Amino acid sequence: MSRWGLVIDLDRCTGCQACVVACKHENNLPFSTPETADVGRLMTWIQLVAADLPGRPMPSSLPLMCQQCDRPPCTDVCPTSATYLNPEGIVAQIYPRCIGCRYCTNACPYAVKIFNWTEPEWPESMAGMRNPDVSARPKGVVEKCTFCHHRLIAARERARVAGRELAPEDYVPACVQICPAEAMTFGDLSDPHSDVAALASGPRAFRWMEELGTQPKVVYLREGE
Amino acid sequence: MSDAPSRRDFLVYSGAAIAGVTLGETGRRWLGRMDERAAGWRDRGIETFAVSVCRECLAGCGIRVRLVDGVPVKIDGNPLCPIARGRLCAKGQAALESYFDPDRLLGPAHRIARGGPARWEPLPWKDAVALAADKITRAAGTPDGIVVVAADERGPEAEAWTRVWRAAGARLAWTPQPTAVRLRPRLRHLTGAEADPIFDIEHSSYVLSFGAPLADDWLSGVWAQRSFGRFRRGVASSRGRLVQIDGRRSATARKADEWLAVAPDQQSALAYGIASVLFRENRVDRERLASVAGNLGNFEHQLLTYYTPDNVASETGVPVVTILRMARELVATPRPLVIVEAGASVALVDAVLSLNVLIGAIDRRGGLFGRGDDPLPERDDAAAVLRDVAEGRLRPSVLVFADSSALRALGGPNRPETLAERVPFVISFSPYVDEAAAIADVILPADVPLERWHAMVPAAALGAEVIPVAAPAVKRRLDTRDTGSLLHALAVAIGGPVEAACSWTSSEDLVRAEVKRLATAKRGTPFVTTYETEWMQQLESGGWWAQAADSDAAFSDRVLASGGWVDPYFDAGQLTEALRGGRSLSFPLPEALPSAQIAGRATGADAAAEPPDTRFPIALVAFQPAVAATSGNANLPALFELLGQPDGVPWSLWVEIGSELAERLGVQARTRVRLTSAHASLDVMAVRVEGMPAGVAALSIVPGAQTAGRWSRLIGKDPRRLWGNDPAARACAVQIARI
Amino acid sequence: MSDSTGSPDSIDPHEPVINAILTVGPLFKRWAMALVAVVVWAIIAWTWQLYHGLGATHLGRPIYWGLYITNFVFFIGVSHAGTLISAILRIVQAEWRRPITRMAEVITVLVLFFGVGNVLLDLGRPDRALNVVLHPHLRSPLLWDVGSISVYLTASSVYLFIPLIPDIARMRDVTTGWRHRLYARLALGWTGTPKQWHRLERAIGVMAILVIPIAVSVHTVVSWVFAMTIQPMWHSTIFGPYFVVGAIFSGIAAIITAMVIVRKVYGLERYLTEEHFNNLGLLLLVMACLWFYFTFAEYLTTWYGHEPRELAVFNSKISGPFAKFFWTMFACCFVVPFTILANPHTRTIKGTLVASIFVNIGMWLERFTIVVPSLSNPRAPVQTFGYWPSWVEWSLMAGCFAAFALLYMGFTKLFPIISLWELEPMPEAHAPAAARTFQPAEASS
Ligand SMILES: Nc1nc2c(c(=O)[nH]1)N[C@H]1C(S)=C(S)[C@@H](COP(=O)(O)OP(=O)(O)OC[C@H]3O[C@@H](n4cnc5c(=O)[nH]c(N)nc54)[C@H](O)[C@@H]3O)O[C@H]1N2
Ligand SMILES: Nc1nc2c(c(=O)[nH]1)N[C@H]1C(S)=C(S)[C@@H](COP(=O)(O)OP(=O)(O)OC[C@H]3O[C@@H](n4cnc5c(=O)[nH]c(N)nc54)[C@H](O)[C@@H]3O)O[C@H]1N2
Ligand code: SF4
Ligand code: SF4
Ligand code: SF4
Ligand code: SF4
Ligand code: SF4
Ligand SMILES: [Mo]
Repeated sequence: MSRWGLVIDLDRCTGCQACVVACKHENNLPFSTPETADVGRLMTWIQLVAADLPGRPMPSSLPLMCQQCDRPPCTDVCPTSATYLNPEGIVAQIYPRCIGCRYCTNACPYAVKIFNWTEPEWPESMAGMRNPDVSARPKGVVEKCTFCHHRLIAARERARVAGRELAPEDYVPACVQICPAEAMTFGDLSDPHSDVAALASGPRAFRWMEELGTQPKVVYLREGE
Repeated sequence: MSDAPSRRDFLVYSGAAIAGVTLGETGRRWLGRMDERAAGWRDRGIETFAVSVCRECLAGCGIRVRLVDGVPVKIDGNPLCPIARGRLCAKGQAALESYFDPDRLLGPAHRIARGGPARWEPLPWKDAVALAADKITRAAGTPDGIVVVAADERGPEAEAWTRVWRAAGARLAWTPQPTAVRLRPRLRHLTGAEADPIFDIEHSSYVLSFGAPLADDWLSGVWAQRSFGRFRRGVASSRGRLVQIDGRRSATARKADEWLAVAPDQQSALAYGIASVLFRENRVDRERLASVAGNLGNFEHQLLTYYTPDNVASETGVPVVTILRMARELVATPRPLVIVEAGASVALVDAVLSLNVLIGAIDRRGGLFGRGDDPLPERDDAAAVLRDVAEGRLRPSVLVFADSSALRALGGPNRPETLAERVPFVISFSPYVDEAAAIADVILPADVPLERWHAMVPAAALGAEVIPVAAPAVKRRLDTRDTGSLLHALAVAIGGPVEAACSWTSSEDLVRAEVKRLATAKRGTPFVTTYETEWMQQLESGGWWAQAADSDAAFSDRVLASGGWVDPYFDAGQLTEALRGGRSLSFPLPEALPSAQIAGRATGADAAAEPPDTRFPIALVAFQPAVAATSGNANLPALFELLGQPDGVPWSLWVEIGSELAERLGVQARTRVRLTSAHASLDVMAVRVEGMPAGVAALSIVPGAQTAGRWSRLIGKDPRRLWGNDPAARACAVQIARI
Repeated sequence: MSDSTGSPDSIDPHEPVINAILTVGPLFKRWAMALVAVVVWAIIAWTWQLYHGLGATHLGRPIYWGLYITNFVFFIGVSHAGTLISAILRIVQAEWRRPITRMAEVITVLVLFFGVGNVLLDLGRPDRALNVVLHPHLRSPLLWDVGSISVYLTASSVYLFIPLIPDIARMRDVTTGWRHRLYARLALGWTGTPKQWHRLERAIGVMAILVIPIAVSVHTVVSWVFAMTIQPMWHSTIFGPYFVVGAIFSGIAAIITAMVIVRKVYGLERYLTEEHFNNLGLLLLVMACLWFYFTFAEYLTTWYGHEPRELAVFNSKISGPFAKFFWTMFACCFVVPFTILANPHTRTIKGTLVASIFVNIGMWLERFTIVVPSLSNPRAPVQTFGYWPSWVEWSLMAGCFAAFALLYMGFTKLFPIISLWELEPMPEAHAPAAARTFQPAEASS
């Protein structure tokens, strides 16, 4: 069974936020306004945060999305199992089951779960730009980075039709695909020959806030020499 | 087992109690219907991909558009494009929102009444073109005739544009873009070579950057980002070190291994200071330099006389030890490189290019190359021309805009409205309601990039000639026209020599002609495989040949299908060649120090350099956040959400201040402050930046964000008011108070 | 029962209590109208929220919980008023408790509904609340909450109802019409036989013992909703007992407040004497000291440990944006009640009332300063904002309090707010040990 993981090399990342736009468009996240963004209602599954990291003179900009914890504090607390760790290590959300209690959002130490405060809306002319592969989230439910799970489903389907195994390059999340600095590497952590496995066990690898026991599958590579 | 039903019953009853308290079944159904309404997207349809070209900046990255049932849903990089290589910057992707922009012009329109609030009426294309042609014909005879403003581009469309307007007797003005072309005149001045500078960041081991926004958006955004990533962690090679000299903590400064906060107007002094240390410590190859440079002695004398570390230290505030260390670091590494921001002052560009010569970075891996090109025509600067119009020195009868950025550079009394008062008739080609459209008498809206044919010469970044070429990726959404057809229609309506100058009927003709030109050149190849693979293959086959040159039509098809053409033929010794003619290198002789003359960016006088005013003790510099510097549509919500990250609040303008000032004002997260200049005041979010020198502050600006549409209007008041009548200056003196 | 004793004196000695039930004065009507208006307004606000979603609140990331969850914790806390107080006092045979048990038990049952109700108000998808039972996830403390609150609600309702039976029977015997029919149904055929008395006593005894661990568990589990997460200043081992202490504290304050009002409105001075207020005042004093102890222990360990994320929350409460709430809470929960109640001269009815009102406000603020500051200072450096509830949230909160008051008033119009049978001498043969006579003040003096 695959265990999907993502490595972000902070030494390469320029903080350009191309990944943020890629995720927004890929996953049908509605736009905010200054007013809604100001009160924490910006809809984004990945975002740049200023993190104080050891050995850096100033806060680093860290692309932060769901860390796909192997021991996720968020799934423990969900009263309805609407969020759960799937067998491939992706922490999933079942939108039609979620009761919107926002317990998981509060239990997540990375604050990356997003709640639909209102019905998502696009101006009429923009209705067409939504990705039909990604399911709609109505108001009142929680959502977050899924590692672009729909792309895995599509890749599996393509591989099946072609009668072959899923190849590493078949499944690439939108943010990884776009990153102009080539700072992101995605793949199967359980495959010892994969790039992610090699990078994740390298000397610069660290898991953010791993002291909390969350066992993230998003691995950062330290900046600096 | 046996008690299971009863426990279940209990749970169901208590659950029912909960639900009962909340809502009845009716409520449930009602909410369910609301869900359905929200979920009203299309079923999965047929997925296709189309190539096109990103026109958000002059980098011209190749893009691949994902369409479902013909409707674009996502923009990614074209993996075959040597510039983008499958990647894109934030702006490139956001261009999808331009296509769908609910505030785009629906079709041609004309203004009902001049002056007062704009009132528009739709007009059929025929009438709109006839109206414009009539005004243009009449204007041809008047003293200052027609003034035409466009963004400085190269390619068949720009040529067509030039030909039509020249034939109409118009005066053309261009808005320069922050590409390597801007640095070209200084490179010519130094080396005599007619070439765009190419900075091989990727293979460099040490980059000393004078304000170059390498990690933000430099010269060619995606190329710069990738170069940075590879420079930092190239395949198995050592990690590159970046030292950023920047007036503010830009994203690049944040990523740098060392950030030296030096005001832009003092950076050339620092650069020459470093150069003088190189001479003093005999770290330059005098013999080699003397063989190519005629004025080496003068240059060295000038530096050693005026730019002693002590003088430079007192001028810039950078400690002598740091200057010495930087000079030594620079030459202690195998492949150092010095880079500079495109909009930097002449003095700074000269100093940086000279430094590259001194450290032997010319024409070597990880260094500075020249990419040969035909001589560039001298082009009038649009901002200057418009200022002349606004101030009455130039009195054209018709003003034509294909690009409104020059308007945004106007300020103070020279508002766009002033132009409307001075010029009897204004024509805009913009598909958006930008500043030009807002003052136009007739708007002939052009297609947006996804709908267009493309063949353009992108900003030089690679050691290769790249021409992105593409057919429209999507069908036209509104009643707009491509530039080629628009020019044709106008030319026909005007008739005479103008019509004769127009040898095409549409942009497709222009693009196909360009592809034909490429095919006949019998060099280069369509983007057939990825850049790296292509490179290996070409090395093996020992040359670059147009693979599809069997027939023009086949070549054309292949180019259009892949998204462009590349000619990786590259003379890596072009600059050396230019110098070989013997002592043709001519170092620019820097001004004496200390003096105020080192100041001054190309953009104008720095108010910061004036004697400090006690009422306005803080020098404010402005910067355009990379994500907001769009060339086309300014109405892109996904980009506005990126503003202020990661320190501030999305959507907001912010001012960066040093810790000392922040302490004094009690600035914490989300503190708002009021900036007051001699002209106006502005409330913005304050962001505390450790290491920012006292006495300076940096304000983010989003030019052009006030008129373009529903989202752009949400970006606060125009900060340029602070600059008052001196719009060109990027710095002014302010006072900052907490509110 | 006086009828059943066959005394020729037909005037009920508890006439004030019975009268309070059977007559509806203008004051009552005016208050009822005002409260109904507030409730109607709250229903409008709720409809608004259902339509617009939780966007109608001023919550946002990362402050996902606010007023509703504060109210939830507060109401569940107040619910400890009742059952726990009356049960404990019953078990330790503090006979002065007799006139106040009913008042306390009613608070418990009613307020629990509002506790649960606030969770429902807080749900993004109240229409899917049933998923909690259809797809239960047993590791979720929220599910434990659903369980323990359901049990508590059941137990405390039973515990309210059983001791009501003899009084309902009495009402049945003095009323006619719909009331008679209602009481006849609810009295479950009570005639006061020795066997019935015996059963009643046993049931009360069992429930009194049962309800205590349930009540303790309820607020412990409520605290675990926070403590089980690893969020700064939520992840605390003493949260269980801390919450329970706070709950009893706010519960007592709520009873005292209710007692003063009921006493005044229905003229029950004979039943609710200085002694009651003095005793409850002392109890409140003890709880104030306990509360101080727990608060001190909680904050001292946080401060001393100076773990940065914990300290960020700590500082936001002590000197940051939440300082005004924190210090008001401290004054309300400790300084004011301690000053008033430690002094026998100020431990009067008025004094305990003032102290109680402060304690109620203080305990509400405590819940607020537990819920909101931790969320406002998350571990991850995401952008946060200053939360202040929206009109909808305030309206719903007002509606909850108004509806509670309305229901409480309604109860006083249906049932004796004072447990009458417990105040009477029982026929010798029937009298169980625990039901010794306790005469109202005037009668005994
Ligand atoms: N896609 C796209 N991107 C664009 C544009 C576009 O049209 N499309 N617009 C472009 C245009 S026209 C512009 S002008 C740019 C603006 O972008 P840049 O040319 O990159 O200029 P700024 O971002 O304003 O400033 C960059 C750095 O210059 C520093 N600086 C400020 N003043 C001086 C000075 O006097 N000397 C020196 N050496 N440094 C200084 C600032 O502190 C900052 O660190 O954005 C460009 N970006
Ligand atoms: N204080 C202060 N003010 C500044 C600056 C500053 O640094 N400080 N910077 C100045 C500078 S250098 C600049 S360049 C500007 C910023 O300049 P920007 O704000 O970046 O202006 P642009 O977006 O480049 O303008 C491009 C115009 O072209 C139009 N356009 C785009 N695509 C098409 C097309 O296909 N067809 C046609 N017909 N039109 C099209 C768009 O509608 C738009 O009006 O701001 C200036 N103002
Ligand atoms: S796209 Fe890549 S370089 Fe840009 S912010 Fe995201 S991870 Fe960093
Ligand atoms: S990062 Fe947060 S949301 Fe993602 S799995 Fe971990 S706890 Fe859950
Ligand atoms: S908000 Fe939804 S996913 Fe999160 S804990 Fe509640 S029910 Fe589970
Ligand atoms: S993996 Fe997909 S869902 Fe997650 S942040 Fe990247 S683009 Fe968004
Ligand atoms: S660098 Fe310029 S051309 Fe390339 S994707 Fe970004 S905006 Fe588009
Ligand atoms: Mo510009």
